[in-house]
Amino acid sequence: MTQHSVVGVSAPRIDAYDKVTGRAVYVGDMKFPHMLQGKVLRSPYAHALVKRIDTSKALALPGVRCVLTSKDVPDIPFTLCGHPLPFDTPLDARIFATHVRYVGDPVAAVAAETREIAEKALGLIEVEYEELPFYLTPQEALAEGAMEIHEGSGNLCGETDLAFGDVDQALKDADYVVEDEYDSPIVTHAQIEPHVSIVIPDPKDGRLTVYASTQCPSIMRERLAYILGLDRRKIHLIKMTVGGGFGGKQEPVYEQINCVLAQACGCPVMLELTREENLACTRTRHTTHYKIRTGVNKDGTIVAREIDIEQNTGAYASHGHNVFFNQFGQFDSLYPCPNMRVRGRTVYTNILIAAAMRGYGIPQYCIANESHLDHVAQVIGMDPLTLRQKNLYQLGQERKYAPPHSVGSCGLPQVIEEGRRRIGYDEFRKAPPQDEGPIKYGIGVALSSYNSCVYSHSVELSAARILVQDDASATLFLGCTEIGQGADTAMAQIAAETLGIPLDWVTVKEGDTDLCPFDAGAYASRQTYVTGNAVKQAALKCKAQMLDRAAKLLERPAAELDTRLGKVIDKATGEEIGDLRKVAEDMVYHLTEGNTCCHEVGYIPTTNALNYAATFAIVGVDTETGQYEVKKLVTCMDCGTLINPQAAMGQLTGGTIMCFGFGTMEQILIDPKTGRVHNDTLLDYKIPTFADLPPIDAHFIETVEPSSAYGNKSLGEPPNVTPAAAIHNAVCNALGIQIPSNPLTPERVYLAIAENKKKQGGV
Amino acid sequence: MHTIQMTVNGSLWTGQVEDGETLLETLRTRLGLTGTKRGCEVGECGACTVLIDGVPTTSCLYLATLADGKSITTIEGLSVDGKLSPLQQAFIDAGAVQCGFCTPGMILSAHALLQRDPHPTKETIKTALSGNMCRCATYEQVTEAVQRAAEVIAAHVGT
Repeated sequence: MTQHSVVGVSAPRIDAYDKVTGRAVYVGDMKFPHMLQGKVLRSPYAHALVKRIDTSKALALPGVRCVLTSKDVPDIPFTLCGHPLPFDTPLDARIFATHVRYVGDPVAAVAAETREIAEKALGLIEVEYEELPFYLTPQEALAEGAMEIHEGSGNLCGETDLAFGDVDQALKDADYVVEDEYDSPIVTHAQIEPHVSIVIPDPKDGRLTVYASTQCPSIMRERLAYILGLDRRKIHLIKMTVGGGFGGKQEPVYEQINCVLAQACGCPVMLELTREENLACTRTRHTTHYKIRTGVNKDGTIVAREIDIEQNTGAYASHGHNVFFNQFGQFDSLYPCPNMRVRGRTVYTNILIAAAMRGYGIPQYCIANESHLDHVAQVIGMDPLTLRQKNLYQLGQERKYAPPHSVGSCGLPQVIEEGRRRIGYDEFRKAPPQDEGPIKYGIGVALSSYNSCVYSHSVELSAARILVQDDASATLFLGCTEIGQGADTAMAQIAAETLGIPLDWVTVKEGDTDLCPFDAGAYASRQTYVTGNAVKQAALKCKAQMLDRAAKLLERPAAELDTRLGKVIDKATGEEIGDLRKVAEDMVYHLTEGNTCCHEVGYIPTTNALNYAATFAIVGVDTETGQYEVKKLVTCMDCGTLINPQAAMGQLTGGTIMCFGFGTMEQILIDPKTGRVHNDTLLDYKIPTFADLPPIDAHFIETVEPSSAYGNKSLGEPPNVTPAAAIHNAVCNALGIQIPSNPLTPERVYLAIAENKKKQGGV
Repeated sequence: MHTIQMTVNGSLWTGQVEDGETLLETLRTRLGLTGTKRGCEVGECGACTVLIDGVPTTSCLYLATLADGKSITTIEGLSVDGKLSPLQQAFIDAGAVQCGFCTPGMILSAHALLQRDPHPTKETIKTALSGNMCRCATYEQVTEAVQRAAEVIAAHVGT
């Protein structure tokens, strides 16, 4: 492997100083003269028609500057989905609803001098609703006679039926057919920074400057212009420090409402959601129902798979059926099977909107499928890990179902072996720990594969511009987005490595659509994989120009020269032979040949590398109470070559803990009588805290992915996939039962134990 | 309106606050100390943690009028002339920062912990910081940072 100077080094994050001193500026920290505060009036009903709105009393309240309803704003149907053009989900949303489809659907908004006045004004808006029947589950929404939530939709937002091979015959011929159903819960991003934006209208030309906490500045600019019926040049999007995204800030959430408030008032408006609004009225992961059937032979060969995925997308499509496609994309990259049938349905209901969330369908698919595989193993009397290993994807194997990308690197066998060794899998299997009173021990495993971008499903352009200054320092202009995951530092490392300069010579400017080139944004774990290539290619162009200059200065052929950490070196010997700062100076200030050095490259991937992971868990379950403790959680990952090992480990352990939350405690609860979210506070919507942490042993297996800048692959989302499933399987293993849903709260475990006892005829 | 006087990061501040105004609002809007973050406004997330007479407190639940005569430390008060405190430096070195929104509150809670217990165990750290939520879940790295800082401070005191 080539020895690198900057890539592969655990350099401190370039944004860390500002973040530990309070200097980092988030949107909510900004103040502008005459800035107003916005507030949104929301539907109290899950499904209703707005018959009448009277805003006169609210408008009369001193300090109120405007009150807007649907009649005051453009009536342009749009999709919330934060993907690049063309639109890939139904255009089913409006700025304000007249037909409200969930509790929290915006019907009006206020801008006032203070937040308190704005809140008071909301209470003075009179709205008359005609209540309609509402549906909280796909089953209800698809029942015969159900009213359409979106006209003409039949309450289906997307539907796919696909078959490969001869599934029916293979199921008939299989030694066993095992069938399971599984339900995953509604969970939400719960970023600690609430959704917030500031919009400043320019009185000269109506151009809006939008300060946003967004993952996708380029897409946000396009979408806001579309929603408002403006030319895109009328939107200047500036992304500030983002206090957590996790998918929830991939799309416009309330920014469009803030835009119309600012337009109407002609002055800056801040719209910041409360914690309660964040939890009950923003975005979630799709709650999904799975039916999985597997045909398997006695020797463990899986001969047929049938998967039925029913996603509840809530009131509007947002990312909708795309989340199904992402799951489908993983079917043959982990457990390929010649005979496969898949059915996907994405259904409208009257709950809050499901959208993109870290993992994009794969965490719920993983827990459903991996718990099913444990059941399959139990039926045929085989060790669950052996069953998986018998059916694993092998490097070089043809991929049929998903876009048939070749796989360039696969550390799957290694992550399994490493995890197996670290947890002591074989030892546990041979001699499981003795029960301790009511405590039984169990072990579980889960595997995953994960894409490194959305190619070739959707547009995947990322661009980078590098300006080499007259001292060989570099300014990196990116549409790529730092949202906490460490993208700025990773991109700076790739630029520094390629240019051959120290990391602290690189400055990153990102997220300003007037200055920075297009980038689809921070989602699909794509930034280091896609933008990383753009940065490397732009840096190579800059380096070539610098070496041409160096060749003239040093009177050596450029081909004999290289750069490293700010020096010109002899490529063959590595000997330092010049100062890159002098070269850059000469490049700019040369009397007749002076020139600037600035190159921009737009990059589109030509394949889609796969991350592989294995997680193992050991738990001790109290069979009397349903309480359990995760004794050991080992997670091993192949995300290619690490650009910044320390930052990478932060993603791996952080994602592991987030997934632990998904598997064990997180769930948005909805009142069946009203459709309201019960738990809209962080006391009631549980996310992992220091007090909850399982002991984590996280480890990377490095491979070299040929299609990326420095051997790297996806990393942001995949840590949030396998841990929940491994814990789930360990608990089920301890108890010898299947639990067909998560989160595994002690209550759920207790009830499962009780039900099993009843089935067994016990007490 | 009430006139209050408090010491903020070592400097005396005298000013007027509203009846129901929280210390969080005073710090952010009147003093411009926006390092103190607003995450939930009901004392659940810990992002607004500041030290009041050395005690970590969720400033969103603390009335500004009660801060009269008190000494307040915010994240802006931990570094001196741009030089980071050992704990701030340890947060950087241990990779304990991701999105950074919880970081100021987390650091202040940890700072108070090290003041009262210079050699905290992992369990002590977990307990002391369990009121500071981090959705990026940097908990492993924060624990390491606090332990590293403890070592640095001990070494410094020792010399």
